[in-house]
Amino acid sequence: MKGTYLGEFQEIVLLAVLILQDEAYGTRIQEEIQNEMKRSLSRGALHTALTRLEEKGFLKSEFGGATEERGGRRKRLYTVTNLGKESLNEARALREQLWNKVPNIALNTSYVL
Amino acid sequence: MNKTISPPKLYTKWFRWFCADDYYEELQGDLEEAFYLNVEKYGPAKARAIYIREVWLMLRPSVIKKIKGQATNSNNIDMIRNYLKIALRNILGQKVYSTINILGLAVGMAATILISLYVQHELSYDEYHTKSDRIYRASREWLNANGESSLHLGHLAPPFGPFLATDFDGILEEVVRINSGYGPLMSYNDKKFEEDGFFWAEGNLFHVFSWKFIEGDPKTALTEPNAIVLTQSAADRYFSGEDPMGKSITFNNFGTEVDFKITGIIQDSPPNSHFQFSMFASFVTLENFFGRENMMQNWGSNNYATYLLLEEGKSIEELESQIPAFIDKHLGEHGGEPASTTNKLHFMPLTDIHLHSHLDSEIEANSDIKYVYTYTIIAVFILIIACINFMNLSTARSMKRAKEVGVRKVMGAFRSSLIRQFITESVLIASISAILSLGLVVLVLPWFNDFSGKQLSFTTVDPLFFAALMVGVVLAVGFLAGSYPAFFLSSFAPVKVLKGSKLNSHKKLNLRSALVVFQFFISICLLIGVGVINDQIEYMKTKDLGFNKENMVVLPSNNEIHANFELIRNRLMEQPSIEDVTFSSRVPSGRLLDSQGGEFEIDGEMKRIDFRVADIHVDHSYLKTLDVKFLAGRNFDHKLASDSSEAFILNKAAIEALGYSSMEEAIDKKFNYGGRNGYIIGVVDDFHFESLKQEIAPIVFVVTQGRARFVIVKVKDGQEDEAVAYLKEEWTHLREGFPFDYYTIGDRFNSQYEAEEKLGELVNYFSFLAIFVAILGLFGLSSFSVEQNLKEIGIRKVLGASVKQVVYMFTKRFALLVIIGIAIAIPVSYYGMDQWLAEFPYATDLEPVTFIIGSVVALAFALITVSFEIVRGAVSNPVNTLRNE
Repeated sequence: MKGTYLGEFQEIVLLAVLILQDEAYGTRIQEEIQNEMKRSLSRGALHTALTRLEEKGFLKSEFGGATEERGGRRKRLYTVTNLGKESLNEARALREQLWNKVPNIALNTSYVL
Repeated sequence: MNKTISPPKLYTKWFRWFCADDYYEELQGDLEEAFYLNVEKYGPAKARAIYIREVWLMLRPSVIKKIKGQATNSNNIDMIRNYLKIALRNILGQKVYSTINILGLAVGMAATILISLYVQHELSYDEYHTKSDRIYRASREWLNANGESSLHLGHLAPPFGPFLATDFDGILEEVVRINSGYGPLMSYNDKKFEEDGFFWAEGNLFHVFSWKFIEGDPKTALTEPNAIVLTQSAADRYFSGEDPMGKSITFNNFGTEVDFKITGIIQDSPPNSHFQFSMFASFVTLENFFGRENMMQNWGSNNYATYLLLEEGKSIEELESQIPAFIDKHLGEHGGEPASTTNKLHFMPLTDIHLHSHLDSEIEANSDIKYVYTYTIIAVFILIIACINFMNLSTARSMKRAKEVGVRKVMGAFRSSLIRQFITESVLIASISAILSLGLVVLVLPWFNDFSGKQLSFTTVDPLFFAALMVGVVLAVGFLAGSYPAFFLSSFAPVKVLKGSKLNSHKKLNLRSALVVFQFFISICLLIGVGVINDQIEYMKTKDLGFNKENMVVLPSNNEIHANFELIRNRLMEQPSIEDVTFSSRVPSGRLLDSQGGEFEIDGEMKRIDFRVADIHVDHSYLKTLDVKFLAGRNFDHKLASDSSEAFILNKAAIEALGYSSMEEAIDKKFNYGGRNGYIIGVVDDFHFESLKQEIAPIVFVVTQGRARFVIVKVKDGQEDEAVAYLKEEWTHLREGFPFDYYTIGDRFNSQYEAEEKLGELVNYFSFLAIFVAILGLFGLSSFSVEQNLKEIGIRKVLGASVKQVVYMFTKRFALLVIIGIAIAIPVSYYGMDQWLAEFPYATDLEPVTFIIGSVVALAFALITVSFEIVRGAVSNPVNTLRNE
């Protein structure tokens, strides 16, 4: 299922787009992810991920309004497609299924060696 | 929002350039928005840094604009992979040719890398000083009445420095004087060393030069009397394990003893300095010895290296224009003429000294830019020879590859992609050779360092320079060597080659032959060059110098030895291994730097000497000991008291320069030299006091009034060891505390030709390499040619040709190429070497035998190589080569 595989980073990007709703464009997505992940993320890396997701049909985009901060340039606003939402749900379901199988005891972190 | 702050323009443009149009609006918008957010968050500097990083990280396949004219789903990477694959197959499939190419190129590149390391080091001298672009070294030149230069010293008299500093305040920031201590004995407890690197230096030394202080204060370290600054390694020698700061070290020279307090430790002299030092003592100490006032009046003692630091923004021309007036102001008149007509000051940038300064006196002997050029040219030639191999072998193999080219063209390959493929192939070969050459350099470097007296290594070079060098060499060689085959092979018309018609290879053969001729031309020039250089060195070493240089042992003298010389001489003479003993101010193989003015009598009138006559202070037996031939008059006689105060002996050059019609005429004429009045009592024949790179200078010999710096002991033939052992015993008493050190005049004379010997040795190795690479190419060509013509050989043999005839037929062609090479090389190298020899006042003749040997060696090597392959082809059984036809 190579075509629909959702990478960890791509999943985060999709979630960020969902969180931001109408405000989901490059700089805001970058900021949101940076704040959540506490790590610096280059615009180039994000762009690559967004392009991939769009190619897979998980995202669609359209040009939004221009603002002064952007030197009069338009934003590209992203929305998650139904296909994208489905695969997010799928990924979550798969994960929860696995989590449920893990016995509780195995999750107790132990520092005694 | 602050609009005065904007993202870095350069990067904005660069991003516009590479970003795909489809994404530009969105991405640039994002970048800018993020930038202004960051300005608020972190401030403009950090925001800019982030912006720059972001732009760099945008360099991704998804963002970068597709190259024009290419399909968007480019298979470029696949094509390059394909080129590489084909190239690798070609290399592996043709092992002999590939080996020849790679080996030849590797050798050429290794030579280039070595020479580049050497050249980069030579060019970097004294550049480590932070103010090096403002530092100049002053030198003093004397002109004779005809306005010709008679002496040019890299040292000045002591008053120049301070006067320059005060008179040109505003142009000059600092003037600093440095004076050699001439190897005093330095001691700390039981550690004693004769320090060749001892210098006196003024307090502002460390303001001008940027040697780093490890301990102490550069501003004050040399301002007090009896203060001394040591280099780290000198400090370690005396004070291993102790803290030297504040401790005392004892100086001893000619009986003067001083305790110096250590006020600073500096880093060792970097190897790329125009002089090497181990310690600097404070100049005020020296001024206290001589008296400051005395020193400020002593315009004759030119022993002080003087360096100027220009004020920022001032030019040296501004200073130069005012120097004649400066000289007249301080030196006044000389024999009715203003001093500036006979005295000049010159200023040379500090960084030029090492390669461009060859004055009569230097702190240390310098190198020469000519060697840098020569070495570079030789390295480039070897590289060219290797590239030629590559071109020749590729075109020779063109027949084999013609089909490949044809097929590719028929399949729709553009000519440009074929060219790209061939270039890829040659760059690949160049890269493999480069890696191999690095290995070679590592192997050869220790030897090369030993030879060049340097400590070159990969770690001392700037890695950026080195990377650029390697990439540059690989690309240059790749393109140079690959371009011809690339354009040549890609030009084949597919119809012709695929139809099987023979390519017109004769036309191409001409170029190939020309290149072979060129290779041998260079190799033979180098071989002849080696021969001539060796001839010249041999000539200089064996030429009759006009005196007896054999068995002469030179020892340092001192005041005490001078005062008791008669006693010491008599005692030494009792020793059976010693034939004679004499002392003097200068010994042959040294330089003639002392001179004074004077008058001479001609036609009953006294006239001023208006050219330089060097003086040598000697004792009565000096000329006899050296075995110099007398042309007229007599030697000094120690029975005549007047001989030690008013007798002069001149050499032939001096008599001729004075204008006497014969040697005899000069005898008993009045002569005045440096204020001493007397008569010429003898004339000696010219002899080579200085190296053969100097013309014989006019010399006057006087019985010494000054201090004798050297004792010459003439040892009986074959008894040098006994004599030296005895002298060692004596000298340890006479110069107590000093290590025993001696040299012989013969050795010293030969060591003056070291630069020529090194050049000879280098050209020797390089000509061997050149011939090796050229022959490698010839080997490839001949084996290829035999392989191509195996059928022809077979038919000839079947029809009755003998092996000898076949061999002759093929060898003839290659021999002809080498002979043409010889024919061009002889006149060119004759001209070149004639020019080289012209720089020596005393040079050997260009012997035909040298040219013959060079040519014959090249021809012999070439023939042996060629016939090796040809014989193999010629003895092959025709059945094997013909049966498939």
